[in-house]
Order: sequence, then C-alpha cells, then structure tokens
Amino acid sequence: MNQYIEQSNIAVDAKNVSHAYNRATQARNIVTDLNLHIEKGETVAVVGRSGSGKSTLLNIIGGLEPLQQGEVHVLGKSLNGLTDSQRTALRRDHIGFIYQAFNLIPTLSVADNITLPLALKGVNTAQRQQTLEPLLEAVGLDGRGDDYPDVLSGGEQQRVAIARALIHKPALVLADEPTGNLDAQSGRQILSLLENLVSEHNSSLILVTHSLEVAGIADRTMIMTNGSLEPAQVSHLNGTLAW
Amino acid sequence: MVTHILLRSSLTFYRQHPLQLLSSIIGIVLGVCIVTAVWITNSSSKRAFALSTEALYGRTTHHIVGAQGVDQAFYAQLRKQYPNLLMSPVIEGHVLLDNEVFSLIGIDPFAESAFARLTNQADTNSINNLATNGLVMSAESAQRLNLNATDTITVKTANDFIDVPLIGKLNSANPAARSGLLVGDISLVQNILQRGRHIDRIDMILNDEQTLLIQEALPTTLKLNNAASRHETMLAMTRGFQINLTAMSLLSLLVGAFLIHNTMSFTVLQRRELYAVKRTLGINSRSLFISILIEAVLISLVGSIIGVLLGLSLSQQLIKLTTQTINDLYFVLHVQQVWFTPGLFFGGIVLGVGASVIAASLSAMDAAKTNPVQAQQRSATEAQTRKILPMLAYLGVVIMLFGLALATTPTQSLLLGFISLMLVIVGYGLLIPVISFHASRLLKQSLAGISPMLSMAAGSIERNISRTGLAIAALTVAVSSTFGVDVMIGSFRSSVDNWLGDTLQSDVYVSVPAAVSTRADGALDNSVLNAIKHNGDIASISTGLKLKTRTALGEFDTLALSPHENKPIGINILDDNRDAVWQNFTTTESVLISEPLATKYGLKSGSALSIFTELKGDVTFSVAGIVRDYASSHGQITMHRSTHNRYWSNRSVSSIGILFKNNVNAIDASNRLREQITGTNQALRIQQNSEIHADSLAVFDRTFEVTRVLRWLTVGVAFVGIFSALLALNLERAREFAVLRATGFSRRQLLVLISSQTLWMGVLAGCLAIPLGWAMSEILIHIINVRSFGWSMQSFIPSGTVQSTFVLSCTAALFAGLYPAWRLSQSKIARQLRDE
Repeated sequence: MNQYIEQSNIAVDAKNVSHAYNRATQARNIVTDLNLHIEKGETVAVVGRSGSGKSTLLNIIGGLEPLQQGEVHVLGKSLNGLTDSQRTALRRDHIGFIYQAFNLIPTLSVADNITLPLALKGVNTAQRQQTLEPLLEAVGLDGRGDDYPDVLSGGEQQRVAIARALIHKPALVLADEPTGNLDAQSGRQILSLLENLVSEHNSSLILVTHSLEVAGIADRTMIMTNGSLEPAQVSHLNGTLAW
Repeated sequence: MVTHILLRSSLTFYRQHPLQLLSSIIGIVLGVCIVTAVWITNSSSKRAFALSTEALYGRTTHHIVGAQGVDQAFYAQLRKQYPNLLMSPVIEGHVLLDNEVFSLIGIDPFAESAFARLTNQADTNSINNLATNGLVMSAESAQRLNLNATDTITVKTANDFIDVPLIGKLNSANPAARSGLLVGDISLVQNILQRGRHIDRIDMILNDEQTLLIQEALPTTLKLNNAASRHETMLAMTRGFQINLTAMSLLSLLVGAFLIHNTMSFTVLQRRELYAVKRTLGINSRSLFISILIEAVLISLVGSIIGVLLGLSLSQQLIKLTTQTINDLYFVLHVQQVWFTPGLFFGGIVLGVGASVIAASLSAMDAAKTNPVQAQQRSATEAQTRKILPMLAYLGVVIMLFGLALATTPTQSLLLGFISLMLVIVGYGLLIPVISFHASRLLKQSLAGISPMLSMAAGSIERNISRTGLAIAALTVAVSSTFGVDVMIGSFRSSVDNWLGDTLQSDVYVSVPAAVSTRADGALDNSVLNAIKHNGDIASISTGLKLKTRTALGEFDTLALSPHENKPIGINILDDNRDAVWQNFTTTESVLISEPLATKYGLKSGSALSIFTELKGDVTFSVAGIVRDYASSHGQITMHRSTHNRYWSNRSVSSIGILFKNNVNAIDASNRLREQITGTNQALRIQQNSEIHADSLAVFDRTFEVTRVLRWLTVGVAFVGIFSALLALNLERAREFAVLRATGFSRRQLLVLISSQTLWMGVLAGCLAIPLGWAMSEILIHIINVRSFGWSMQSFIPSGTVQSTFVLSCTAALFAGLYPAWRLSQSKIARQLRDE
C-alpha cells in the first residue's frame, strides 16, 4: 500500500459521496452527492456555515467516519472496502490531523504528544528525539518539551498539535478550524506556520474553516452548501457573504 | 436552591454514566450484604440458643447438679422433704433417628406443669400421656419424617438400636421445640440412655428464701446453680466462633469501605473540572460539599437497602453452615430460623450510608476546597498528587508502625487487635501510590526502547497516579485480604494437621459411636475391654473417659486419661520443662489444661483450678502444664486416670487407644481386632488414626466453610470496586483514546494498550498485596485468633497461595478493564473527538 501511495499524484478523489446521521430513525443528510479532487501538494480550503458538513467531510476522508455512499480515494487508495485496521494504518502512516480544540493528550508531555505518531510507527526513542528537536524549534516551543498541555496557551497548544500532525511527514494534512480557538494574531502565526511546514513537507492540506482570511492561504477554496461542494465565487471571496 | 441545581447536575452525570452508578451501588450492596448477613447469622444463632434454652428450661430458676449427675434417690428424698417446692427431674441426651440428631429429654410429667416448657398450654395432652412409656416427637420433625403418633421408631443410642413407640406430637409456639426433640417419661429415657438410677439435674423454681434453704440442704457433692449462669456459660462457648465470623465481616467491611471510598473518590475526581467551573460561577465550597454528601447518601441508601435485603437472603445459607459448626464443635442446636429485626435492618443501612458518607466526605472536602483555576488543570492535579506522594508514604509508614506497635501491646483486647489490623492496612494503603508511581516510571523507561506501546501503558499509570494510585490501592487491599485469610486458614489447618499427627499416636482407636460428635462419651463394655487386653497383637493401650466438669471458671470438657505406658505419648505439652510437667501430672493432684483455657483465664503452670468433684465436692487442683489442643476453643482439662478415680466413682472407659507390637502389620492387626470385638454385644467405632485424622480435618474444613464463603464475597466486593475504578478511569480518558485512534492506533492496539495498563495495575497490586496479606495473616493468626480462641499456631503459607493471589489480582484487573477497553475500542472516534 505504501508504494502505491507514494507513486500517487492525487491526494484525494471523492465521487458522489453522501453521508447521513441517524439513518435508522430520522435521517439528516449531512453530505449529499459530493465530489472533490485534490492534487498532491495542493492546499484546499473548505468553507461553509456551521453544521454544513465540513468536519464530517474531513472525518470521511480521514477514515474516522465509515463511508456510507460514493467513492473516495485517498493518496490513490480507495477507502471503499477498507477494514478498520487498514484505515487506521492509512491514518498512522500518511495523514496528520489538526483540530480546533487541539485534542492534545493531557497526560502526555509536549514532547510525548508530538512524537506519538513516530512511537506508533515503532521509531526508537533516540530517533524520535532527533526528529523532535528541530520541529520544536520550528514551532517556537524550544525547551518546552517537558511541559504538559494545560500549562500552554491556546496558540502554543495548537503549535504542538501542528507539530504532532507533521512529525511523520504525512502526505495529507486535515485541519479542522485550526485557528477557531485563537485570537487574530495567534491565528495568523499558526496559519503561517502551517503553510510553511506543509509546503516544506510537500504535503497536501485540506483546511476547514469559517474564515475567508484563513482560506486565503489555500491554492483554491471550496464552499460547502447543502452537503455539496462548489468552487468559491467572487462574491464569497470579497466578503459579501460571511459565516 | 443551589444544592437543588447541583443535585440535578449530579443526576445528569449519573444518567450519562449509568454503569458507574451501577457499580457504585453494587460495591455498597456487597459490602453491606456481607456485614448484615453475618450480623443476622450471629443474632439468629444466639436467638436459636435462647429459644432452645426457653424450650428446655421454661421458668426454671435453678438446677441441682452433681459432678456425675444426681442420684434419683436424692430427688425422691428432696421431694419428700420439701413437698411444696417446685422441682422436676431432667435427663438430656442425644439419639439418632434416620441419621438425624434428636435431643432426647426425659421428664416427670407430674412435676412439669409449673415449668411451662416444651409445649404451649393449649397442648398439654402430649406431655400428660408420657406415662404410657412412649416418646413424643416435635410436630415438624414428625411431619418431615412422615411419622404418626401410632408408629414405632428405632433410635440409635451410643450402645444400641432401640425400638420405641411414638405416642404423640409436640406442638409448641417455640420454634426450638417444634423440631429435633423427643420427649419421654424419665424412667423410659433412663433406660434408653442407660443412665441407671441417675438423672442429669433437678430443675427448680425458687425464690431467694427457698434458694438459701436448698443450699443448706445439699451435700457437698451437689451444687445449686443459677439457670441464667448455665445459659451464659453455654453462650460463652460459641463466643470465639462468633467473634471470628464478626472479624471476617469486619474485614469485608474494611475492604468494602476502602472500595466505597475509592468509588466515591473517583466520581468526585472525575468531576473536579466541572466543580471548578461551578466554583468559578460563584457556587461556594459549602454548597458543593453538601451536594456531594447528599449524592453519597442517596447512592448509599439505595445500595444499603438492597444490601440488607440480600444480606437477609445470604444469612439463610450462612445460618445452615454456622449451625452445622456449632453442632460439630459445641452443642446441638436445632433451630435454623433467621432472626431479622428492624434494628438489624436499620443498623445495616446506617452502616452502609455511614461508611459511604465518611468515604465521600474526604473527597468532597478536597473538591470543595481546591482552587478552581488549579482544578481545571489536570496536570496541576497530577503535579499536586505527585508532590504529596512522599508525604503520604511517610504518613503511611508512621501509621503502619503505630498499628504494629499496637498489635504487640500485651493485652487481650480484640478491639485493639482489629484497630491495629486496620491501621496496618490503611498505612500500607498510603504507601501504594508512591510505589506504583516509581515502579511504573521504571517500567516506562525500561520499555521505551523495546515496546513504545507498553512503555506508554506504564507511563499512563505514572501520569494518572491520582486515579491509578487509588485503584491499585483498592485492588491491593482487597486481594491482600484474601491472601491473609488464605494464609490464616492454611496455617490453622496445617497446625491442626500437625497436632493431629502428634496426638493420634495410637494405631487404632476404639470408642462407642456417639449420636453427636460433641458427646462421644458412651461407656465401653467390659467384654470389649477384656477382649482388647487379651489380644496378642497389642503392645500397649491408653484409655480415656470423657466427662464434663464444673469449675469456678465454668463447665469444661474433661478427659480422664490413662496414657500408654504412663508416658506422654500423644500429649503435646507446650511448657519447656516437659518432664517435670509430666512428673507432676502423673504423681500429684494436678491437671493439664488446654491452651485456650489458659489464655482466656490467664492460667499458667502452677495456677490453682477449683473443680467440682463427685466424691469430695470442690477440690483445688494445680495446673501441671499447658497442652496444645485444637479440639475445643472453649478449653479442655486433662487429668490422670488415677487422679480422676480418687474424686469420681465412674470406672468406665469411653475410648481406647491401641498400639500394636512393632512386628505386627497394623492393618492386619486392626482387622483381626475388628473381627474379635465386633462379636461383643456393643456397637463400636473402630478407627485407624488416619481415619480420625481425615474426619477431624473434614470437620475443620466444614468449620471454615463460612469463612471461605465470606472470603469469596470479599473478592466480589474487590472486583466490583476495581471494575468501577477502571471503568471511570478509562471512560474519563475516552477523548484521549479517540485522539490515539485518530492518530493511528488500531482497535486492537487500543485494546492492548488499555489491557496492558490494567494488567500492569493488576501485577502491581498482586505484588504489593502479598506483603500486606502476609502482615494481615500474622495479625490474624498471632493476635486476633489468639485473643478470640486462645490457640497459638505456626504461620504457614499454603503452596500456591502466592501464585493464586497474583493470578487473582491480574485476572480481576484484566477482567475489570476488559469491558471499558472493549467499549472504548468500539466507540466512534469522530464523536469522541467532537464531544467536549
């Protein structure tokens, strides 16, 4: 699978994807007949109202939500028919997640949080430490490796989350409102950091956000409306619409 | 109002965490169930004894007794001398009917009416008909055995099978008289029990003036005893056993209280951040404290009510086991009814609620006082816990040392014994988090280069020590209590086993089969004695006569012993100067007393003991020495047969120990002996020493059946406690585990991670439980056991106990962690990540 993924030039290819919650009772369609194509190294922003299905889309692409309908290829690999452990392996080796709520593990130190993906891949302690140090410096947390998440500011926590998402050099990074919990200045710093690191690693990035300013770092922006994606229009980008 | 809102919030929490609520309740249910079951069992057996006393003694105020019964001629003379006094002769014995033990009572129907016993007034016909030389049987027993008033029954006595007509059924309001009794005219019962012209006692109803009159009229060989003191004496016999039961229940309660504390602490710890938010919003610490306590009261109230009701049900099983033990070791008790009073019901509830509230109040105080800002920082809680760990350890060491010092204080106080046991457990419990913390850190570091996942599992225990420390401590205490009890029972069994090996030195024992094990005192026929004396295979014999003697300290089983070649064969003398003790025993007016008798009454070699003898009334004997004897916790006196014969007229023998010649095969010789003496007219019990050994151990095992039941219930309490702790611990970390899953942990890896954590907790608890269990067993064996029974014994760890304790700990932890691990591995990652 790894070889296949490395050869693929397509990061995400989703066709006719639909997803609903409470399917057994009162079904609520979140994603409807959605199509998305992202090239390797491309950054795509997905904007839309709250509850429009942006996070669900990320979860489907990341294999956190089972695929109900349609077809999704991630890094050249079809998610259809993948078992839970195959989806887990895909995430572990090739995908990095960044959340609005940081989702750091409160009982692990900053260093342990960041190196967790490497530990999962079986990388030994010395190599983990070697990889960690430049990354800590890059995210501006040099010397903070022994701290625990709850003594960090929101911006610092998000930098840890970014470092964790990128330490294993994933081909695809999924970021869900990465600046949603931060002030404007911290948000800008985080975005800049994310942009630089993603570019440095030649990773693809899907950035879910409410903010058109955040969406500004993307190569292109898609709007999620009624469960479907469409390219952003000028009216959106000039700020006449807001979320 | 604020409290109301806070309680609504708690209710919602438990609605969202139903399993935690359920496990909290189950923990309390089991703890309360065990303690109330033992309370009910103890009070039921005491009441059964009181009912039996009432059924047999009625309005009796005094008894006239002799060292060897009372000559019936004396009764006739007394009646003639005092025709207006209320007196009635009584004979009591035991017979077997369909392998069921019956108490056989002989009375004089014409003298009975004033005593109001055995039957109620509405049914006096059955007693009045006794003159027709038949027996009356308890109505319930007759119904159970499908017998009618016209049937003939065959009763088995010590010496014979005797056919007796049944002439009536005994109905009584007293449950003790409704089963297990056979009543007959005194002359008939004298014949059945072969008592000759003797009766056991004369029951009397006397006022103070009449008491003085009778005391003056009695010869020195007879005594006038108060009926109440007899009741007290018999009750005292079972006290050690009941204390032991209570000890086990208190141990369960201690484990239960620890687990309740653990459970309540978890539910509070889990909501520390929530409490911090509430405090930030302006809710004062008092309201918070009260709301947590009310929550504890409500949960424990539900748990306690269910616990008491289950305890009632459990006590129905326990009463059967305890009655069996009392019948095996002490006296025959027929009533097996459960005695449940409102006092016991409310006592159980107060106990459960009280223990829970005390347990919860510590956590509530902590939650209410914590700085709201700090409480929201999980690392602050952990850092704070880590900071106080060494302090807790020092405190633990001090408490433990104080407990040990208390344990070695020279006193007979059982209460102090229990307090010392509790202090050792609590002190050790305080050491557990710090040990777990460092052991987990060490394991984490050692595994870092080998298995990152296992290293993470160990590290997680270290980092969550505020939670994991509690869970490990709870499991350790619970598992150690099973280890402690196992070692105590094992040591006891091994000591009894060794003692039986030392005592049963004869190859074969011949005795008269007794209806009940506590009354093996039938006399052997002279024909049997003669046959044995002339058997060519025999090298030497020892003879024994069992009797009951009354002393200034109460009534005791006594053995008049004629030992093999007049040597201390089979006598386990505890004194250092064994030869001098034996010399005194065989040549002077002295007796050997068993260890419980010495311990309970502070007697030692050289002490004086006044015994009421048949021929010379009260005689003061000297205690020659103390012997090890596990046959009776009440105490036993052994006197040389020659000493006995100087003060009692009875020359019969109730058992013979036989040593075969060295050149004779013991099995062949005993078979020849069996053939030789079974030809005599007497039913005999001929047992090889190995058979008696095995039978005695079987009685021992039966005695500890109750303890075993209670021990498994304690394990149940422990399991629920650890399940609850691990459930709470793992569910609290659901979001953390979801992050791991999102980051690339497979379901299997998550299962392995969580199971490794719980297994490591089990390993730690297992290792830590063994020293604590050993300390508990030492206190149980050398302090509590000695103070309740008076027996000393050697500590002995039965083979496999260490391993089984370790396996129990690991299995309990692993099983308890399995469900939360499975549940978390199945939960939806996206949802867990979304949930705050």
